[in-house]
Amino acid sequence: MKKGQLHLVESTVVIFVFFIMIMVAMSIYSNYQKDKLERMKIDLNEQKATQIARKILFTPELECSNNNARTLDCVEIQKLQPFVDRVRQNPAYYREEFQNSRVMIKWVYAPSFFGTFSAPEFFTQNPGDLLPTTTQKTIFDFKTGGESYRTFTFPVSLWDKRVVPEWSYFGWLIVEVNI
Amino acid sequence: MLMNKKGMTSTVFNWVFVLIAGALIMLFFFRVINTQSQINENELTVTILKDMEDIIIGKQISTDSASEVKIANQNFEMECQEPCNELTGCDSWLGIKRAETRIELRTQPVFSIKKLTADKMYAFAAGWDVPFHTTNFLYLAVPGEKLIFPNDCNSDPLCNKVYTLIPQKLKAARIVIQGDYVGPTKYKKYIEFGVFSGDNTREREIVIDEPNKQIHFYEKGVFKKTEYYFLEEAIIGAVFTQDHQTYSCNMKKSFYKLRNMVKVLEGKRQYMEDYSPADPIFCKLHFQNIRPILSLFDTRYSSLNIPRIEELNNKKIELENENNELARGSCSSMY
Repeated sequence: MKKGQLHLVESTVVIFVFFIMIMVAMSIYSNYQKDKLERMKIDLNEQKATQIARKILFTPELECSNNNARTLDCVEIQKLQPFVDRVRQNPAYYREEFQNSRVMIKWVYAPSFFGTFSAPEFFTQNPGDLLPTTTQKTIFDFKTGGESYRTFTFPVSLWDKRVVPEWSYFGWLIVEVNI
Repeated sequence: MLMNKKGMTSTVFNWVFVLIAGALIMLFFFRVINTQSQINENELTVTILKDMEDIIIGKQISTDSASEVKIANQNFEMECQEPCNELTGCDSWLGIKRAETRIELRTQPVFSIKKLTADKMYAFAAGWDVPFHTTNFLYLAVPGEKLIFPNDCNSDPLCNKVYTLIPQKLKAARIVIQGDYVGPTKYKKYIEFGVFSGDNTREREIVIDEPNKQIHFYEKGVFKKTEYYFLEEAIIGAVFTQDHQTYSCNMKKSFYKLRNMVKVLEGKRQYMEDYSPADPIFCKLHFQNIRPILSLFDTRYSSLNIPRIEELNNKKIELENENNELARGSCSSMY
């Protein structure tokens, strides 16, 4: 091989190697940026999930009030069944509002609740049951299966407005949101 | 001659090499810069949207004072338009048009102008209690927007009430002003109570017609449309909104929410009618009285007219009285 040819081959190899290096650098960089964007999207979705959970906690359909004086972190038991019925009648609206989420309510503790009064119907299997027999109930389920989701558990007061002043029990509002 | 040709080939090749290498290096750096600026823009958008969403959700929950959110002169747009329907709300969002992420507002009433470009945005909310709490109206405004109330606002009780309901922060920022504002500005709207000014130099004007509970929208002195308002919070909505279409779109969303609330409260009422251990006859009677009142609130914005609005206002008072009666008789309150 002549000196000139050798130089030409050498230059070609250098270009080729240089080209490969640039391609590798570009792909590493674009992968890194793609990951960064993905992380941002996940962050945003997680934040959205938190917002949905907060929205459910404060929805006017379930909130506790006495002459419009509202109590925070509180769910009125007597509004639960009508709300469940309304969501069944108009699921598209509530899916729009609460996205892909599932909401459950759990009766945990009712101080000095025994004997004279039956438990609220929403938490019993048979009317007249003295103690709650179905302690956890799903309010609605718009969650899509198979995807990752976050669970938020909020401690809430459960207001029983059959009596005045209302009785307050302790419960959990469990919100699962797809992210 | 041959050597010369070889030398030429080598020189040409070297130049081609330099060109290709240079082009590749430049391409790489251009791409890095381009991607980086896109990422930065996306990051900024996401951060702003996060802050905005925090505020929007926060205001849905509680109606505290006005908040400020920095939006770094991004071209925010607010849309609320048809089609609207009871099942999925309206086609409504807040965001940057070219950005992927938007805040969907299909069911939440948000009153603002369409183009929100400024370094910061003001947000405040007011509860729409009809009389029971139904939703929070969210109002957005940016510096450069001028919402002009009449000079003699204090002498008109409704004008005074509406003006007082707007947080001081927006008055201090000279967004909500009394009198007039001379000079160019992003968006200017005059609010009149009672009679149309007849001034066709005014870009936008709304006239609140209290006896008929109507709002008349004018643009450059030309009448555009009449809409209805139910409670003062809706008047503030008309003040902060772009035009009659966005006002009507947001009111439709509010009435969809109201219908859902009525259904839930009716369910509760039916239950309470049969379950009032304190004074069963008295409580039952008042819970029964509430039934026809509540059913009147089961209405759509599009079906409003002057007698209907009048009726809604009367029934609001009746429902408040019934609720007070329930409390007086040691029964559970309706709301």
